[in-house]
Amino acid sequence: MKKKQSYTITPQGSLGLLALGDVGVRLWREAREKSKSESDNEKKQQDERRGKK
Amino acid sequence: MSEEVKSKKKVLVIGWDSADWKVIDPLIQQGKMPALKGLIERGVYGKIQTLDPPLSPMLWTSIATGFRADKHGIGGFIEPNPDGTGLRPVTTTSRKVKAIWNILHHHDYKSNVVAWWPSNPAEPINGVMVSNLFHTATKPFGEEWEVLKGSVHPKELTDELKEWRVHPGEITLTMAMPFIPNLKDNKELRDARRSNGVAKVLANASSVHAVSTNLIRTTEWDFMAVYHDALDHFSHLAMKFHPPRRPEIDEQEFEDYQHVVESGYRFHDMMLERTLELVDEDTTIVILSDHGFHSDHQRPLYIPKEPSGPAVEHSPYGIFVMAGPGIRSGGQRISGASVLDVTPTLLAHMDIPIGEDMEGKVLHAVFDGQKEVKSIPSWELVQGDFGMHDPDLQEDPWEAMEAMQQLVELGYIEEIGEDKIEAVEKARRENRYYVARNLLNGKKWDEAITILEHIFEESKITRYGQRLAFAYLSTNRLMKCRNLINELRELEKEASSLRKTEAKNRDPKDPFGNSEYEEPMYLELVEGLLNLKINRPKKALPILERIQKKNPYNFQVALQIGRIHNMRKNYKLSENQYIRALAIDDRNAYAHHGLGLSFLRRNMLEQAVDEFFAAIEENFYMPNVHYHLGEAFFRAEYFEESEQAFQVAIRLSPGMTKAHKWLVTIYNEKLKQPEKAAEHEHFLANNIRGNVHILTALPGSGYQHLLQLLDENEVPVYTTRSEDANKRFVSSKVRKLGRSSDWMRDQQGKLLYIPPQFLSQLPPTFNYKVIFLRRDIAETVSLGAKNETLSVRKLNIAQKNVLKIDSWLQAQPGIDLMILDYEEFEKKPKEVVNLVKGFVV
Repeated sequence: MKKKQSYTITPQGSLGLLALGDVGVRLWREAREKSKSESDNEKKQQDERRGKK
Repeated sequence: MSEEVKSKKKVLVIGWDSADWKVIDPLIQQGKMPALKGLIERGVYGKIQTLDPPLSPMLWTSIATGFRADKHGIGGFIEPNPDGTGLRPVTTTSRKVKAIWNILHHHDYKSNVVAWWPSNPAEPINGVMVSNLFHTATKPFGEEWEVLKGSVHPKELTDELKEWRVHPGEITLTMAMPFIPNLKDNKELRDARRSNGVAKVLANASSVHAVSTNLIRTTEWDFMAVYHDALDHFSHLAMKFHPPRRPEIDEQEFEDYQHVVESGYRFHDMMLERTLELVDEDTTIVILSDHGFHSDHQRPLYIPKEPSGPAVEHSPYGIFVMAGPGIRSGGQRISGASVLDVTPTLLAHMDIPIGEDMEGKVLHAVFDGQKEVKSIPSWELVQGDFGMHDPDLQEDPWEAMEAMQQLVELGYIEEIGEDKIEAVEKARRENRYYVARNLLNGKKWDEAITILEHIFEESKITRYGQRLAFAYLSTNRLMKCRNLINELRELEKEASSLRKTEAKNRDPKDPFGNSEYEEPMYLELVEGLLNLKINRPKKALPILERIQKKNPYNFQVALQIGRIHNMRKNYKLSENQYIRALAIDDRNAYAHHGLGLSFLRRNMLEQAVDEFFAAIEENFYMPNVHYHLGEAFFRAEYFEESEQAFQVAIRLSPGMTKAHKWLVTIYNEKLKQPEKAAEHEHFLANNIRGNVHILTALPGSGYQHLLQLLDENEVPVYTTRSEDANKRFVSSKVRKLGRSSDWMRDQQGKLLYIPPQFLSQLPPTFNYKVIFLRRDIAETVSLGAKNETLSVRKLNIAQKNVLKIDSWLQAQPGIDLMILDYEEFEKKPKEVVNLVKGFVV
């Protein structure tokens, strides 16, 4: 039986993810969306904090 | 489940356009392509020979059908829109024959086809077809990117599959850096044309792979074909920067782009690894390319300034790997595969009848054990459901275009813009040129000549004329060939001043720009070969040497120069040329044979034997190689081996008198088997008596005039004592040929006129050199007529006589033939006389 491999998926993706085909593309896009929404939230919070000050 | 369904074999075909062993082999050795290495070890592998011209739409259609372009109908990259308003990428509706997935559809197989070229509009097969135009990004990243109508079958899958398209704008620096590591620190480089090209190619490859892995996982299928164009595109972008760096290559550009090709191949191996994880062990895998790509010293320095010019970077051999149930395992090499063989081999593997009209063969060497191959006359004659487009949609786009033009002329529709018409016309001609080259490649000379004569006459484009000259040469129309060469030389003179201006304006830093092309001197090559054909090696040599100086990696030139040196007994020089030829194509049987011959003549027997065996390994069916092997063994005093080699030569070419003579000597003097020697002595006594030169032509075609002139110019011609010019060259003995041919022995070395009706009575006991003087039949008959009315009966007789000549010529293996047109003789009698002299003397 094949040993399960573990991947760290970054928003930048990798050739390895592209080579995984549809599954890799989906995982990468999810990571990218997640990172984008986290960064948007952070920015929003920063703006809010600045607004309070 | 029916028996038939149970026994279905599952097959996955993966096309890697341009993949080449010369790039792959070192990567495998360095452990950089482990998935492909593992697959090779599980199956068989080898080179696959491409067709000419090496253009992808034509070749991938040959791969999927087993037919050449004249039959399958796909010539170049583009075709006219049916409405005549311009051009579009070539479509499936232009394909005239069934592809393998259509035949499988008929047998109730489920097929998935992804990105095959051409596959748009997607065909309604039992399964899924995603066309080659499905994944091309048409809008900037971030904007809505609609799917091209008709690019997915069934269309219900469109929304699901479109999610797997990767836009070039999505490619990140992390993904692109293995290809161009300097992107990290060089912002300027990120905007460079080549860097953007890499992102685009990578996005396309990722789209095709994502769609195909999704279909592998989520659909039921029996056959799947996936096509990747990325290796071809990576190679066109950056093979010039692939290590080692050549002196002409800018150092900085080499630094920037030297990893593109290697990374492209490694990425394909990664995709393959994933694909192999997804398929079960019952699946037979085929990986192949349509042609190779020059990656070494043969990389061209210039790209021709002509349509499809970049194809000059393609090499003639691609890759072929096959592994799975029923396929030989252990990584054995197979030889002799052609792109035409893929469909017949796959059908045979799947126990489905092959079409007897298919132009490829079944590669029996791939199968584990004997394979019984079923066949039917033609799949094209079988009616029924093949999952093809409605016949109304299937159309010859060129015919549609012509119909449009007629309507314009008749005033039914408005005039189409001048430029577009010109563009369409150019594309039409170019497509016909590709088909003609494909026909030449398949030795379908007459069909090729018809096309080339037409498009050359129409356009006076020298490329077309050069191929036509080669076709004339190959069909022994030597005078036509000579005249055309002269015409092309004139055209070249006019074009050369223009090219000189262009060369001056060329950017010295960009030798690969779309600029002057160092013409491969095709015309010179034809001229050199023409001189060789008429026994003028001394004249041919400087022409060929001139070509070699400008184009050192032309295989054909090295081979021919080697041949001339062997003919002139300059064996050391011929050795150099054959070694040069083998450096270009190390598996060429002719080069191994020529090299062996140069060793043999210098008594280097061991080396000679090695080379002859190398030639035989590549092509067993060359009687001369076996003959020379026999001679080498004899000189080395291996008489039994020598006897075997001569016997094989005779089996392949029964009339080979020299081999019979050697066997007489071996059996009489060395093996002491006089009874066997007697068999060959008997053969020699009853068979070959010498060389006879023949002129054949229809009565009244002016052959007397030709013979007269030859006679006056010291060409030995058979004559009688008759004072009557019409009878002077016709021997009454010819009419009795069937009964006695002894008199011919005394006529050796003379040119003998034989009327067509007596050709079939010529005894097979002589070797013949034949000149066929042709003249328009109607003209010939009218010249002999007493009044102006042409007799239908006489025309029919003349027609039959021409057929007699053709059929006799076809039945003569290895005959030396020259075809002359009377018209040419009339125009340039002196030149014709000289040609004939060279031919017969």
